[in-house]
Amino acid sequence: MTRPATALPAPHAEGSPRFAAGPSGDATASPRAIVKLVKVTKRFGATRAVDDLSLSLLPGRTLGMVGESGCGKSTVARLVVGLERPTSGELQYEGRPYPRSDRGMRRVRRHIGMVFQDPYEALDPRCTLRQIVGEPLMAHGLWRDGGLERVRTLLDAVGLPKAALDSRPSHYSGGGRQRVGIARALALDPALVVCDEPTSALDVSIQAQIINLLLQLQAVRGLAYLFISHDLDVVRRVSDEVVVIYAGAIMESGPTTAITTEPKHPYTRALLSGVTGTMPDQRKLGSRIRLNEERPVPTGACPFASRCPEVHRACVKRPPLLAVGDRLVACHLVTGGGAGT
Amino acid sequence: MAAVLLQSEPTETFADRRFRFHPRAALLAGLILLGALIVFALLAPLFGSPYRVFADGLNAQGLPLGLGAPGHLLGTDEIGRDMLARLASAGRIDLEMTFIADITSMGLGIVVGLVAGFYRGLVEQVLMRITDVFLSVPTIVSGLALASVVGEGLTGIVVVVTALYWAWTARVIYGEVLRLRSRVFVEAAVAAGVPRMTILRRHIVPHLSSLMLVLSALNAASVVSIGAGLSYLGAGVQLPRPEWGNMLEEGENALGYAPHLVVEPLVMIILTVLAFMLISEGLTNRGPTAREKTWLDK
Repeated sequence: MTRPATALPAPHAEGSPRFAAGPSGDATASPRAIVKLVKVTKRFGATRAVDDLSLSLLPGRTLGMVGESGCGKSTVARLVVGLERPTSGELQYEGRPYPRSDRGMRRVRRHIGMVFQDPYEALDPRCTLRQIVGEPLMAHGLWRDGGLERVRTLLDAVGLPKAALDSRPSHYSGGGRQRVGIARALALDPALVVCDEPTSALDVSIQAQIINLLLQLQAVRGLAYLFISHDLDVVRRVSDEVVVIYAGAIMESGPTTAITTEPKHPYTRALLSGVTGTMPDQRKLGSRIRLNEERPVPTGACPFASRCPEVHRACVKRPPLLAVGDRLVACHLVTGGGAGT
Repeated sequence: MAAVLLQSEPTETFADRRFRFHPRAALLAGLILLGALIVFALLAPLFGSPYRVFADGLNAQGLPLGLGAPGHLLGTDEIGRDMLARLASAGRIDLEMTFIADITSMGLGIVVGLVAGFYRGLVEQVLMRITDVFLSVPTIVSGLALASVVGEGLTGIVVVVTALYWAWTARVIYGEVLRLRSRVFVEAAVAAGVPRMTILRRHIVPHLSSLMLVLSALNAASVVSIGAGLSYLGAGVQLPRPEWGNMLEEGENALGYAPHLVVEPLVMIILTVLAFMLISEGLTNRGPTAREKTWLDK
């Protein structure tokens, strides 16, 4: 909301309200959060897709979430929009827990939009753009109130011609379809838009266009984003704060600049060393860090232990997520618990 | 190589190309065949009454007239009735039975499949277990048993065939609904707060329409044979009202000296099944993936 659309390179978190994430949830005291996750765990059978995760999504700000595939990022997105329910813990919308009933959930969904990863799958091929973008409006009884005009405005806002109204998704390539997806996510004028890898299915040249569009829309509408990606380079461009996830749990979180220039957690360092971007601040990070092979970790140990290049004896005990300066880190090396032994 | 191919092309006639390359050839053939059968059945009154016994309907030995007899193109039966008139009249009741039973069994199957696939939990479990029961009963035996309860005639056979066949449709539709449910565009609608019934109507049913068409053609093929089969076994349409199945049964005794009494109704049944099979084949190949030509088709 406060950031101009042109501020494409890593936005600073200067004087921003503290983005809070912590295992206890006590640091998430900000009452202004649109959506808050409090110690959320989601299991699928024996796997914990999301493990005791707490974070807050604040108005007008972008929270980037990075991690490799299968680390539970998408599950977080699905939890936030209510496509999944947590096994334990709680999600809150404006301070109140998510309703259990279908009808109650619909009221929450009215304020949360979602942009999906694969624009080829996310749009019903049998519907016209009018139906796709207008569907959320109809669902919430807002169509009669100039719904068609609103769809026109939305298509215009995402850079599609007004004549697109009666075309079908098959007329568009990936970038065009993702614009439609964004228009749909914005249809109800949500406070928060969850972007689950919105660019990873697109060509590199199109990726930049979509990112710029998202930033521009945020500047105009004061949107909050939960921006999920495995691409740190993209996340760095859009986010105010970054959360690094491994095995469903937060490894490190904090202001984007701090995390990307001075990563403290070994996993964040490894992720950053793999970034192939051309920004000068990456070069000083040196060569790529190779992670060990993934093996099962004994219960109660650090989830990253088997792959960590700096694993040591203390890692058999899981490190707590602790505040270090302006960020939160879960690593004994950083927080000092038994380091150096 | 390419030159050879190019040279060979002009020698093909238009009809060749059409038959070999037109993806809807089967559909066209099936529709024409079915149309011909319907016209034949509708024209039944033109061929005279199926009950009229002709004085000259039997030969000197008192045996039925064969194919091509004067005045009786398809011969006569054992008491001298015109086979053409009987086959056409029977066709009417068979096709009527097929269309009605196809619609009722498809309708029931579609509703059950949709509801079970879309509303999970207890509803799904109950409906699909019932479906499993209906799938597991032996068709003919339970059909006969059921027929003895619901009675004879057209209504009886429609009820029996519906009971025997709805479960197949329910199974297939259910599976397809489950597949569609997990598509991202359905999830996107859920995430936008679209009510369930709207999702069903707008994002599930339209994607089922082509499958429903194929299924109903396949289903019709089964319905024809089981309908005639039950009548053959004495359930369903009763003599003296002619029906292909009971005509078969009637002609059986004369197989030794008048095989046309069996062959003719049999051919009618086969042609009807074939028509529906061709239609379903043609509809299947009409799908978006099947329409693309591969190098094999060239």
